[in-house]
Amino acid sequence: MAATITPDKILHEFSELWTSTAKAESGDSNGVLRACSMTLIAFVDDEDDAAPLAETIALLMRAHPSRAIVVRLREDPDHLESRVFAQCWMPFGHNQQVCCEQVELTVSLNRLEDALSIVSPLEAPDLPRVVWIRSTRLSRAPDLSGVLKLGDKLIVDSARAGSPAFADLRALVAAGLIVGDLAWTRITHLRQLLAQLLEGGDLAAIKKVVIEHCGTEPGPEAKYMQAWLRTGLPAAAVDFQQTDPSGVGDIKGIRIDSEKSDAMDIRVDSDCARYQTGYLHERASFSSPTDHLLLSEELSIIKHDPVFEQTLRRMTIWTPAF
Amino acid sequence: MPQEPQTEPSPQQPLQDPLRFHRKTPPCAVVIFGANGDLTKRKLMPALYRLAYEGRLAPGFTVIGISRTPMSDDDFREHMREAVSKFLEDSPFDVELWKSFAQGLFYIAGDVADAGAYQKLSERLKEIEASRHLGGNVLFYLSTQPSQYAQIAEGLGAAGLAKADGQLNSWRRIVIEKPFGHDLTSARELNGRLQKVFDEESIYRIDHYLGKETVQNILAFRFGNGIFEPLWNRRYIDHVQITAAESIGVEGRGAYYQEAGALRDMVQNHLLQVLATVAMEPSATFSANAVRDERAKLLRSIHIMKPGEVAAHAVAGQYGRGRVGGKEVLAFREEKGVDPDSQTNTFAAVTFLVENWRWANVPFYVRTGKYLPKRVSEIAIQFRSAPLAVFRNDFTDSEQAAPNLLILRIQPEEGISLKFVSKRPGAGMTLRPVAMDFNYGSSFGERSPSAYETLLLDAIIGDATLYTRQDMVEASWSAVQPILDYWNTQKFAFPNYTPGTWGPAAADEMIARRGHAWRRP
Repeated sequence: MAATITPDKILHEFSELWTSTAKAESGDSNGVLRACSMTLIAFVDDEDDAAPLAETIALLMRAHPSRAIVVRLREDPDHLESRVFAQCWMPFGHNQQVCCEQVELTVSLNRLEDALSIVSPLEAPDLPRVVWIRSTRLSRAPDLSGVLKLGDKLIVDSARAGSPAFADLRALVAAGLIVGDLAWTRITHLRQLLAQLLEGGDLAAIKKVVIEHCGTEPGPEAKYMQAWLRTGLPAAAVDFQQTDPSGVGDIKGIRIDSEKSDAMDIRVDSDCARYQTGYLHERASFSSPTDHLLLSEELSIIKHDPVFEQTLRRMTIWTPAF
Repeated sequence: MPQEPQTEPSPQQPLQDPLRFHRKTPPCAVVIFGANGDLTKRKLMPALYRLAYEGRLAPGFTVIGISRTPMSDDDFREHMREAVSKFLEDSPFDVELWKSFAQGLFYIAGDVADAGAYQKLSERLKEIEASRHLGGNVLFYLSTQPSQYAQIAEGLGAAGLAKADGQLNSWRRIVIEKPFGHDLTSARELNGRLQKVFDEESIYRIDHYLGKETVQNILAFRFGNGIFEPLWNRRYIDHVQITAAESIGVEGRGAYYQEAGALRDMVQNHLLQVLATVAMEPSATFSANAVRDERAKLLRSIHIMKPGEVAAHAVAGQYGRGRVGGKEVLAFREEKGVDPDSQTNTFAAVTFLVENWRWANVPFYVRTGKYLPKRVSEIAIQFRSAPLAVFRNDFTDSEQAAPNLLILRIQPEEGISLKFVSKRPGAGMTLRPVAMDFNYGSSFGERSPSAYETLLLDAIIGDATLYTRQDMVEASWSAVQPILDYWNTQKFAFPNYTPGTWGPAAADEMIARRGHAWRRP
């Protein structure tokens, strides 16, 4: 007989968890502060390395304390089990632990529907709900509408295998869903630098922009950058140029030619950009685009993002010509 | 600060993304007078570097340091590198970024009393403007002795540096540190001299307390929530206690502190600004002047004590010898540079009354001091008790029928705590007080910007919401001036409190006369 789990059982385990955590924190400490500002539902593959994922969620909790529900999807049939635990940390200089609750459901793809019926009642009431899809397996589920209904916002990463295509994201946005794409989030720093460098200049005089990328074709970040620049610089031809066939399509540089000012050249690394424009040779530091930082930015925007949505509409969608 | 955050780029700025990008900062030069001083090394330069690290500064950002010590640009850069790597908190020191940032650091050796120094500055600014395109924007930061503020402003004015250079939308601003005068008269005189050179809109008086995240959060707490404001008045609030306690002494600053004292050093500026933030009316918009108008109005509503009222409403204290944590502590009068008969207060407690409809007869107790039991800053709002004590026989704990308390903690554990009564689990109706805690997002473990990062960025952007204005400074001096005048006529029996205690007994008596007791933070 297939295993069963009820939401009530998990809620009861949460309750016991808090009681035991509070008891353990007696003595000189100020006890435990239970924090929750949203529900974060993550769909991951069961074979996904648990340690980095746990670290990502633990780091996220500092800025976005959440009830985290991690659904680990596995291939073999009829599996369903749950585990409840607390994510706790002691902020530096404080004597009170901050704790968030987390439940991990390990479930076979064929029992996804059962898992969804458990997840929904576990969502923290009256608070935003965000679904983060990291699983490559989920795209093979026969019906994803139940997953989409779980959250107020859906976060994907186009740079990962198995992610929805841009056309699908566009359809979701058109249907009114709030969507975030970590591939878009990854270029926020670079977009901000460009906006700052071009601030006050004559944008209509910019006629040519070249986005240099590695890999055999531009990655999703480069494609987003192209669409965003095409929107903001309508007079410019924004094209790609491959600089190195190895790699996965990352942006390596951007060159901007204007009829009225000095050419601008930006060299891009994962943690910085070096730019040169006329007199200035400077360096801008970027935080390494870890999942934790990218998600943190997306979790701060649980509403429609007009710039992202506009860019998505502007994306060139390549349809293979079979 | 706009009332509704813009989320879409404007047609004029199609590359902006207000939802994700930081607030835009214009290109500018920050000119620091007193560039070789402690404040520059410990606070200003680390804050500017951190802003650069976060990409908050515009390309071409420039710092020009001025002080008397002869130094080359490269020497200055090296000094600042040492300072930033030493005093940078919660952040990595990125050597590569520093190299880029340091290209924008320049130095001028000069005496602020010498007109030639301003001429040199003017010439250097022109050179740098040509190479780094600063848009004509200059922020002068006076990190010097307060007695030099007016002189520097006048020097800048005489050299033609106080007015924008004619480039479109360019600006000149001046930032000064507290104290803004040492009494009402000197504050007025300073304001008068500054305003002869700079418009009031261009004068940024920094009060780093207002830059603290949690002080800013008071506004969010009060005006972003609907449930508290109806209770925020004399009908429901019994009294308010504002405490800013320090667990250390004057730490080698005895000579300075002797001239200032706790009332001038903390109450006149920081704590009255906090009081104003707690008690002000909601502003119609969140623009800088609208918020400051309300703060100023509140400060002007504070009852100005008559000489005969001071003794009952204000208590001065000075610590004597003692032991703190097993360590011998010298009396204030034994500190280096302090007069052995010093009458300086190292502790001050004041009962302020706000004379408006919202707060009539609600005492605001303010206390601050050196060598108190712990470092803590908080605001405790005590609500009136329930009108009928239905459960008067059902309390078992020593706190008994404690009234509801709302604690706004500023430091060290920033957050909000609401104390209320709840039934003890189990049979029978026994009650006990419990606390519901909220820690701000910033204290869940995320780094929050230092007060100087916030305030420097605001000054560069031109947002003066968190800066004090002339009328606010003068209103707060007006509130404490009668106390200063009265205390100047007194010969106190100092020392009157032991290090490691909550101040003199007279402070407890002051508040007890109204039937209250200091909260133990």
